[in-house]
Amino acid sequence: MPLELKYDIELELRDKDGKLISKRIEKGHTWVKWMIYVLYIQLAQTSLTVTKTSGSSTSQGASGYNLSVASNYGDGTYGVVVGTSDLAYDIEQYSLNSQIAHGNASGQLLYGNTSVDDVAPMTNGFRFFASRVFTNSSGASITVKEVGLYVRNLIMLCRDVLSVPVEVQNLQSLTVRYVISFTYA
Amino acid sequence: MSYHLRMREVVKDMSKLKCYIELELRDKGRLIQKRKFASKTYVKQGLMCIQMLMSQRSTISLTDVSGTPRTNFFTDDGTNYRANGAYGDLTKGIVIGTSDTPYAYEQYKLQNVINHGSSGGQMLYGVQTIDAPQLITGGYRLVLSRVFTNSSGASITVKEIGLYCMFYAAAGPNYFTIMQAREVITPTAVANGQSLTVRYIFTVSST
Repeated sequence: MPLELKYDIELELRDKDGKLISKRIEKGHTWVKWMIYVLYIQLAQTSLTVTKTSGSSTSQGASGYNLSVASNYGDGTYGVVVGTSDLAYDIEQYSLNSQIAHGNASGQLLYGNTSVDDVAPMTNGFRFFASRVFTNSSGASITVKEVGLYVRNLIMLCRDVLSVPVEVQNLQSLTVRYVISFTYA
Repeated sequence: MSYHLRMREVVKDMSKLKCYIELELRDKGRLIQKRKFASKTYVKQGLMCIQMLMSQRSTISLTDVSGTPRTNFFTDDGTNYRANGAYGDLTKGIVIGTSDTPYAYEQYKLQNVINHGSSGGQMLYGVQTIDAPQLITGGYRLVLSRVFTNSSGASITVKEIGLYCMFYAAAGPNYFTIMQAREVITPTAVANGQSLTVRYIFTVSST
C-alpha cells in the first residue's frame, strides 16, 4: 500500500432531538493543489504565492497555521465548511463555489466548532477525525452539495462535491467528519 | 423528503496524497542504476504530526529519534515540519541506513542510520533539496531529493530510508526530530566513490 494520506467524509444527519436519521461515508476525491503547496512551504521553510479562499493571491510563508483547522463556533473562515454548489471539482480550486454562511438567517447554517480528535487505530492503519456540526435554524430546508477543509491561514486543502446532496431540514443538523488516514498493509 | 437510515460507501476513483521513491546510483556521475517504486507507508507518528498541527494541541506526545518522548510542542510555530537539512545534517530530510528490520508502525527512527562523514561506514549527506510544486498531468508533484556520497573507502549497502522532520517544543534544546516515514528497500550497494540519490515524490492528481 503506497504512502498515501487519504481522507473519507462521514455525513450524519440528525433531527432536532439529536436522533440519527441517516449516516453515510463518501470516499474523499482528492486534495487540491494547495495541499502540496502548504506541505512544500513547511518542509522547505520558504514562501510561495498561494490563492487564499477569498480569491486573492498572496505570498505565504511557513506558519504554524498552515495546517491548523480547529476553528471556533461561528467561524466559517476555516475548519470544515459546507456549501450549496455542485460545480465539478477541479484541482486548481481555492474555495467552495458557494459557501453557506454561519447564522440563522435564510440560507444559513450555524457552524459549530471544528474539533480534531486524537489519532486512533483502524484496520491496518491509523486515522483521526476533523469534525463539525452544522445546525439549521433558518426556517427552511438547505441542501448541502459541497464540503471543504480550510486552514487558519485561509487556504483550502480539499473540496468535494457530494455524490448525493444532503437536504438539511429546519432544526436538523449535519455532522461532517473528515476521516484522515493512512494504511500500512 | 424522509431519509432512511443507511450506510453506504461510495467507491470512486480516489486521488490521495501519494508518494513514490526514486533511487539513482551513480559512478563518478554516470548513471548505473535507476528505479522508482511506490512508497509503502508512514509511521504512526507521521500521522500524529499532521494531527497535531491540524488540531493545534500541544499536549500530544511524540518520541523523537533519540527515543525520548517529547510534548508541549509550540504548535503555532512556523518552523514545525521542516525537512530542509543542510549538508551533513541528519536531523531533517531524507536519511539512509543499513538495517532491514521490517517496518513497524511504531518505529520512531531508522534502525541503523548511516552517519555523515567519510570514515568507515559513513556517507556524505548532501543538502536536502525540496523543489517547488510542479505541474504534472492531472495534478502536481513535490520532489524531495538528497545525494549520499560514499567516500568511506569501502562499499556500503543501503537497506532502509526514511524522512525526518523537525518540530519545536518547550523543553531544551527545543528542536526535535520526528520520523515521518520509514522504508525497507531492496539492498543497494554503494561502492566507494559512488553516490546514491534518494527522492521522495509526493503527488496529488485528479486522474
